[in-house]
Amino acid sequence: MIYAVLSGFVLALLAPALYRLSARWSGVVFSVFPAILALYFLSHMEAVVGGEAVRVAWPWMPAMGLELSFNLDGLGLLFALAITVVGTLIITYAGSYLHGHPSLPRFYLFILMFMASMLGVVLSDNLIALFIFWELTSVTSYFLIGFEHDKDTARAAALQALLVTGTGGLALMAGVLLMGQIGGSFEISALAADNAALQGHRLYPLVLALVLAGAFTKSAQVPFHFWLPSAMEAPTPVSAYLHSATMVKAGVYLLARLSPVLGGSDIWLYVVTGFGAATMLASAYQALYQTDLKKILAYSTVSVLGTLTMLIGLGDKLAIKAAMVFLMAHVLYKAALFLVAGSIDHETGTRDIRNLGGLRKTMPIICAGAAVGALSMAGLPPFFGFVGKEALYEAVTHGNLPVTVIAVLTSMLLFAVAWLAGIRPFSGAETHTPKHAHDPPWTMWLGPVFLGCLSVLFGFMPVLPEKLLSAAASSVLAKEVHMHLALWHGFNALLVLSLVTFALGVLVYWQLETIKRVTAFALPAVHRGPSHWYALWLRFLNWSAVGQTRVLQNGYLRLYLATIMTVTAVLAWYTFLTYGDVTVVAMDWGDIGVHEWVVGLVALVGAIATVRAQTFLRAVMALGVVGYSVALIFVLYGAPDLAMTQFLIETLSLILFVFVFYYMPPFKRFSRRVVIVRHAVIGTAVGAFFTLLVLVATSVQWHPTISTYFSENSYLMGQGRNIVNVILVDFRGFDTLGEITVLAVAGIGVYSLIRLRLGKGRGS
Amino acid sequence: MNPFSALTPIVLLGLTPLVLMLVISFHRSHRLAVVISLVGMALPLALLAGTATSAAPPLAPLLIIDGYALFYIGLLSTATMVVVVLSYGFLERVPGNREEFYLLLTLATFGCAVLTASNHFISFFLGLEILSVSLYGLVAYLRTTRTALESGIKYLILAAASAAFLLFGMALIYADLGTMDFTAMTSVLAAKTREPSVLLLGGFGMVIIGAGFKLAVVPFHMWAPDVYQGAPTPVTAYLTTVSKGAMVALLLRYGQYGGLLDYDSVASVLAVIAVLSMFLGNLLALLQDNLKRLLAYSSIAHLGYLLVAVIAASREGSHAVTFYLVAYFITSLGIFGIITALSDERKEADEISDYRGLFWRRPWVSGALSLMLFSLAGIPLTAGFVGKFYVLTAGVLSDLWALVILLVVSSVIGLYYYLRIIITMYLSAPEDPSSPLSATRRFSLPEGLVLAGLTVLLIWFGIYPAPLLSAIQAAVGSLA
Amino acid sequence: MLTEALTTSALLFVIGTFGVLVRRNAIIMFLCIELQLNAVNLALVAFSRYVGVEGQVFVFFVMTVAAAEAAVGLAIIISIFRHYRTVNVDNFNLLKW
Repeated sequence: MIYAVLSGFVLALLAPALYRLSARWSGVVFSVFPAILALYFLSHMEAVVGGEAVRVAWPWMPAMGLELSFNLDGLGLLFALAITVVGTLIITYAGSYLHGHPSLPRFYLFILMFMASMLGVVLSDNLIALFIFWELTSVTSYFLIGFEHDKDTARAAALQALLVTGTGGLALMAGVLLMGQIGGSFEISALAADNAALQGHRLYPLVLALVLAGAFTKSAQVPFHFWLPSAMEAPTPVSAYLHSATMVKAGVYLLARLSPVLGGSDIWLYVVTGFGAATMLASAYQALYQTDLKKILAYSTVSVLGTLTMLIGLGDKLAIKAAMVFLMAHVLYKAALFLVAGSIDHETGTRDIRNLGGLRKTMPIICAGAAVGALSMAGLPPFFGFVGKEALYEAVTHGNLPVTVIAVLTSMLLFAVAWLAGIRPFSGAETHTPKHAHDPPWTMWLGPVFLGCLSVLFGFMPVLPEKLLSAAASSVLAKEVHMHLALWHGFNALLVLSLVTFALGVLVYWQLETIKRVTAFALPAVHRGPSHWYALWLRFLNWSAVGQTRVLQNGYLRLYLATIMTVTAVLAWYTFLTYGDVTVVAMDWGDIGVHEWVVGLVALVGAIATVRAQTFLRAVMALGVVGYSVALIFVLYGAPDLAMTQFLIETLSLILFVFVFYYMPPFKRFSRRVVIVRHAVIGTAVGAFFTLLVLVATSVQWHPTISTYFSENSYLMGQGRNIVNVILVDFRGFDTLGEITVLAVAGIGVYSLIRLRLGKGRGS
Repeated sequence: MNPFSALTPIVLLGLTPLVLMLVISFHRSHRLAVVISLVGMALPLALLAGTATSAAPPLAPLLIIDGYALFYIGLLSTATMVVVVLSYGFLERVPGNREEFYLLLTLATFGCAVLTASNHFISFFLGLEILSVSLYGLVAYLRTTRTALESGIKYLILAAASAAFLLFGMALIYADLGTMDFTAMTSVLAAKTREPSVLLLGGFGMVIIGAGFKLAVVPFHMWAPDVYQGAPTPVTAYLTTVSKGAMVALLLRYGQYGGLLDYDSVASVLAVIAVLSMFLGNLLALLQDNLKRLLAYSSIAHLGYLLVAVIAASREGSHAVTFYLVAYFITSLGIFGIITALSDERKEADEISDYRGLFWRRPWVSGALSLMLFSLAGIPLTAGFVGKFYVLTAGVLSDLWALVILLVVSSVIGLYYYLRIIITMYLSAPEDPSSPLSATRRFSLPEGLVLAGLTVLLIWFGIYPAPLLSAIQAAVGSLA
Repeated sequence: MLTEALTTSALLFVIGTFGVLVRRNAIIMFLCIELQLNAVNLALVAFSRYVGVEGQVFVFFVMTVAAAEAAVGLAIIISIFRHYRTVNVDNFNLLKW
């Protein structure tokens, strides 16, 4: 199984090369691969529906206790089949849809890579691996949405999609890490087996919030749903594959997969159900207002995703069963409708439903596919969509009233939307379209027709997918369940509810314009809301970035220095003031000898003179005075050797400086007065801290350690009486080497710069 | 084992500039200088393979050559070799003497090696200054261009000032603990039962300033964009990798021994620095049009991420820091390498607009660059992802929830500007054929090999990081 | 005696910090940093009288490093002066934002 997932990546990398072999039939050639995978997964059907999960594991990062483990159970198989079967149809379709497009090889590369990542998501048992594949689907979808990279809108949509799902992905990463840390394992199966520790932990709400952020962004739940309609900029095969059948379902998949781990709590019930219910109604309503065929489908997809989320949130047996049936029905009809929309766009040159009509005559095959899809979406018998809707109603009527009302309202709206998208372009009088319409080649009608046939077949014989769906529901519920599906349940309350839905749906479609007018007041709230916030947030970020850059990075060294010093002062004073036990020894002024006074004062005067100097020579001289006074203080401290060195170095640098600065002109004194004052304040704050600090130092208990070692051993080991000398020469030979190197560097720096100057002088 | 033979890697690194100096004074040859520096960096590497297993021998208190130091020396000298290769192409295009560049470069690496092996304030300070002083020269190497000189003076003044603060901090810590030896500090600190004195805390604060400056973390970061932009691109690559890496290595060791991370107040200061760096770095990079400046800002953010693992102060934290650093080295060297290799005599390829439509002219180069940027953004299958993941894990293991969440949030901003560059590359090429960036310059063989190698490593460590991880665990294990 | 020396050292450091902050002339700023290093040396010697001889050893290194830094720093400042005809750091403002 590991090869089934990973081979997709290998093939993806080879795709551009393979493409050259047969550009004409590339779509058909590449679709062989997902078809083989589909057969491979079908071959496991027997075992999986029998309740056996196929599991393989490979060590991957043993140092971190990670392994690449795949687990094929009912849920995984359901998704894997959806991915590979729809993938086969999509790739066949894309070969013709994008025929002649210069970037077609790139398309195959990314769509195959996407497919492999998507399989990875639904088959991984390891949360980390799942997350990695999850992010890969985001990245590859970014390239697929931005496929028409020269269109600004496509680029913006791709970026938006990746930012939203990427944000969610990062949240998921944090959630996964927390989950692994609290639950003690990254294996989903292990976590599901023992979820008490996780659910009882105080951080459970945080974990849940992070995971839900990941799932909701990916599955376009309100308030993150706006990216999905924008992503319709993608080529239609991409929309059909990513934005209806597979990627957007990854969030739903994650919720289903983790519901044995995280589900069952009250927060789960209310949050997941609440967001799902809000999404299903809000986007079904928004779909009514769209005129672009693909956007209508996009909003209705979001609505279905909301329904699935809501059902998983409810989490009881009926709800999960309904979710699985509904999911399968949706994959069958929505992918078909997207492909139809793509064919219409491809053949007529427009996707605006106001300009489309009467296509049944010119595109009969497409019309048949569209009709089946639309009727299934509308939830009419005998299509599989009807079975799905019945299951939904059965689940919600066992739930509570608000959810039932929302479900009925949503179904009513979707009924009208289905008509709008799937029936209207084909009915009525023929309209004038940019291109003269006719049926596309077989590669482009194969998908809708095949999926339509399945919708009809499963509608008439729901026993066919029954076992698979039962197995899927079993893995979500973590216990064995069996479901019984039928087209005809007898004359009961559910059927009445369905009939009411149809009646209302017809009413909505008939009075569409009136309803749109009357309810338009609510549109800004749902429609403009989140995407507006996204835009505002981006603008705020940009604005603050510009502001910060202008203020903080103005290129003036003085600001950089002042910032460092200010932070130092603030930090230092904070520590100092919050630190309780500070003893400052008052100085005993009388104790200081006159010579000490003199030396100290001379040093300070010299320092002040350096700072105030108006010519370079004066500054250098003043600094020299400080240096010599410091050397004198060294003498007072009984460090004559240090003092000698200091004298030598001071003299040397004095001479060096004098030579260098001899030709320099005098200069103006200071900065502007305001600047001086400001910096003086900072300087005083820093300075006062240092003064206090060293005064504190005098009250510290000393810990003589290494010095005793040196003083004890200097005569014995080094045969010398001057401790410092012995240390330098005997104990620290290597340090002296380092010292010499530093001097050498200095020399080289000067030398190379001088040489370079000379070289330039010669040149010019 | 003879303690002096343990020093061989460092001695060899120190000898390289000396040999170079001798050779330059007798015979100037660009190629020769490159070869000598490459050999000088490679020799200790070859020796490392032999000595890596041996335990830390007792040495003079200044340096400690353990597995940890050897690992970092290996990492830093490898990175230097990459920089040397990049510099060759770069320097061929500029007028003036070229050989001294390698002198300063190898010397700087010698300083870095001293830093990583340092076990004492003296070697800390010496290593840092050898590095700094060489960097002054390197940053201002193109002394006829105004921008190079400007970045040189900025780096010089700020580095010198921060070194003065660092030194003062060392003096304070020395006054409080009575020793400058890291190992001795451990025992002194262990014997202390009372609260840390204000002297010690003040000293730690000053040391953080010194280290923070080299790492370019907020609020000591302001030099970074200016210097990154003005310095020659290979030097920028060096600044962002080797110079920071050595400081991180030292910080980890000092944190382990010197008690830096044992106190809540220090840890919280570092946490504030980390959060500020992550957010400010990413925010400032958001609208940046100059690629080198953008990378400076992004590097500020990355060091912020890294600090999270440093603050974790655990074995996992040290592993995470090291792995993240390796991934960051590969990525940064790769990106700066591509910038260098794409630049020509007329123009440096440092504006994002220069990369418009690059994909259509140089698909392989832009593919590699995209991978590097993905790695910086922490997208899976790249080394950057594993690094970020490891850092987050370390944070989670040490219960640093807030930092982990903030790291995640700030990475989102990062995603935006990395993608912006990638998008630019896939746009259609500008119509103006006299585009400033010819992008027709063929890569030389060594350049191509190095960049290809970096790309392969990036993916390899992203997919199968196990070997690197176990090497790091073995090396960092010797730290504790 | 420690107190006096430390106070002197602190004051020197503060004056140096002041100078770096207030002056705009690269050379004076640089000299002020040298002043700071002198101050630290003073503190180290004062401490080492009570703590141990290590501080004095350190001072040797600080001195050499300061000399090295001064040499390279001056070299850079000189080449800046030759190029810009000024060493006022406020004039170096090409690199920003």
